Amino acid sequence: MKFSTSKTELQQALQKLSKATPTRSTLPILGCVLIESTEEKTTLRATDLEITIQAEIPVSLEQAGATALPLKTLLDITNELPETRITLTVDDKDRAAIITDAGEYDLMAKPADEFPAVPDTSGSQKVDVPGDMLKNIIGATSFAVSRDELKPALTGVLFRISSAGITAVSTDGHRLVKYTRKDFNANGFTGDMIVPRKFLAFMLTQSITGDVSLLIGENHLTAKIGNDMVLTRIIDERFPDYESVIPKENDKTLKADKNALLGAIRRVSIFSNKSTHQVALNMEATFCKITTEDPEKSSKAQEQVAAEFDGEALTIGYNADYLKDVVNHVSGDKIVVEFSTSISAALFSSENAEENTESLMLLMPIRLND
Amino acid sequence: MGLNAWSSEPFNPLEFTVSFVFNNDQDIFHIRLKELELQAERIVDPGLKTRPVAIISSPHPSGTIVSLSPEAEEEGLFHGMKVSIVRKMSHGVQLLPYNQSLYAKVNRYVYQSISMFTPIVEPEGVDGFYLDMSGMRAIRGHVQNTGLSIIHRIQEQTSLSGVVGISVNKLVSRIVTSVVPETIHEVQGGNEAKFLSPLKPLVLPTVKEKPVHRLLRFLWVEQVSHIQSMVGQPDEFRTLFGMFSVQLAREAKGQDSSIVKPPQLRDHILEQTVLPEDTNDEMVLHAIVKDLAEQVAFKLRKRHQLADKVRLEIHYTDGHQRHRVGKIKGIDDSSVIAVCRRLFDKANERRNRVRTILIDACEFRPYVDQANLFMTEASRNMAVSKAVEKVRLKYGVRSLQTADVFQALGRV
Repeated sequence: MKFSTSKTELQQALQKLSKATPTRSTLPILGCVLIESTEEKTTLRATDLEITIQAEIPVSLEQAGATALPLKTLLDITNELPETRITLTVDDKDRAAIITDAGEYDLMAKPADEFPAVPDTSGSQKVDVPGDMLKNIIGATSFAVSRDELKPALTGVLFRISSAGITAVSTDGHRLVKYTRKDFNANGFTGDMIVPRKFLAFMLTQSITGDVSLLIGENHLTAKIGNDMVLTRIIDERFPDYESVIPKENDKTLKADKNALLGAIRRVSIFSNKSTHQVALNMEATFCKITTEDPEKSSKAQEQVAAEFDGEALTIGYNADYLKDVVNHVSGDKIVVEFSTSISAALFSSENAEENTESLMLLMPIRLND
Repeated sequence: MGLNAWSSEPFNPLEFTVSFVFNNDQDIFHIRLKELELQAERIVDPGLKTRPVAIISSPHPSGTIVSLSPEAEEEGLFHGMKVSIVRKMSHGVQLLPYNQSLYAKVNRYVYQSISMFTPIVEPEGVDGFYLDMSGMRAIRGHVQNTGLSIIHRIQEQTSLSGVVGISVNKLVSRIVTSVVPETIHEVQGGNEAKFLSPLKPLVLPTVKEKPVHRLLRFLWVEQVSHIQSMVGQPDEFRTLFGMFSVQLAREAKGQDSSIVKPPQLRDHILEQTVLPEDTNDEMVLHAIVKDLAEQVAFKLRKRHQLADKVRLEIHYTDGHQRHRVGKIKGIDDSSVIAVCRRLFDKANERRNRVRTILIDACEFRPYVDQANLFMTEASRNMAVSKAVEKVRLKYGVRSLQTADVFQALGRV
């Protein structure tokens, strides 16, 4: 195999692929990037067996072939090189050479057939999603995904696609986000899938213009962005019945300026206990007081924010980190929070919902000690 | 956590430190039995008295010297030296393994001897004791005479020699015994900062924190007096030392508000069962552990606290003792039982019959009762624990027991 390409093209592709390389693995081949050069195209592929990323680079091809090279070494040398042409050759004994104006670097490659094959995605259904819509959905929901590997169903976002639109739901057991876009056209496809956090995090970092083609299979989801392809396994678990935990009778409503409330929570939480992150919201008719106290450090803080509270005075405790996340993800300037009691879930939403969008967030409180 | 008690004034820890009024009438003694391990070995075997001896933490090559005789020091050995190097360097030095039970016995004996001077005695490690002698001047006369009486008493009762440091707080008294070679030395109230000023910064506990130590080395701070002069510029001091600034400022001035706390006042939860009949029947022992763990869990729930340290001790009929240490991450019965059971299984490595099992939980931190959206195993266990607790609160702790505990307690 022999081809030459520009340093920048190769570097950008390798940086993308590095997101799918495991830091530690019992399979050394997973630390490699598979390079396949044919007359039609040259592709680079990396996988950690959960997510597979493939990128295409423009090359001047001299001899077609396939090989697997250590991704980190290749990325490191590419990062250190000035803008130049890079020629990559691999002989039939898997001896690779990177030839540039600066010098020549030899390394051992691995046989291409050792690299894991791309899972079979035949029979997948194609659904096109506008790139900005997909990023909005991921941005609105992925923060609430659980990191607890003991609850695999919660380590991804549930996508429920129907003729009525697309609904994305994520939860870690303490908070829940439900985000619906009614202006999504599924072209007749209906179904549920739980997409892992890693895939969503990768998609969020990509600059996407135009539509993203989603190929939804039995066990895998493939996203095609231009010439690049990202494939992930779908979490084969039952997502909990989220509808049953969304309260229907929260009768106390707080309306406040989102940024004022968020700022106050951020400042007060600095003085909260470092292990509990506990803050309390004390709500009266015209204000919301945010308080915290850390007896271990003898620190305490309070701040009052102007608000409209419709209901009897209420004090409710929250983990400040969760509260900041939820308030931060409410769109618009005005936040509406609906409460029932100090030990039940509160509903967070925006006063001015965007057209064709429904966003709902649930947060469970901390039981305050008397 | 109560969240309603507010004062209108904003809280400033540095100002708080400056305005704190320290009681100069206190007399806090620190007794240090220097090289206690060596002294104890020489009492047991008088033949060691003139020989070069070193007590090592472990016979393994990576073990280190814990205590050594002046004769061994003359051969070039020092505290902390690795056993592998000692073996290469010196063949004449007798290396003795660390005899935990002997030193613990000596410690207990000394504790009993000095408890007759004051009921407020706090052991510090194996070789140190704090005594709160405040208000004793009227009864016992000058504090230095009292100090000498204590040392003589220890000498008479145990043949061990020690030194006494006297000041108005624990920090300065402890530093006195570590840097002053005389048998007795008193730092008068108000002279703490003056006493500390020529000493090396490492005598202050906060300086042992890595970021502080690194910064002081970078700034070429070689005496406590330099830190004392830096405290005069609080804003810069706070910027430099951040979260350590308040504590470091207090220590540099020789201020310490901690009290002498006897073991019985230490904040811990201690549950113990002395078996009426010694046994090595694992079923019975597991049931006893379960019973003790439930009692610990009950107390933790009442305090709304988790324990970062839980120690399970097994005392055998032949006097040997085994223990293991763990951490309690949940306060429902199941979580605490699981931790204690694991510790017991790890600690119980002997076949001898067991006489006593003890669970000691300490290093508490607040527990947060975070509500869950979905019923999880942990929340289910917590609900069960609370339901059982209601019955026990009404009818007594033993009113509701699982069959294995009931059977075990019936059998023993």
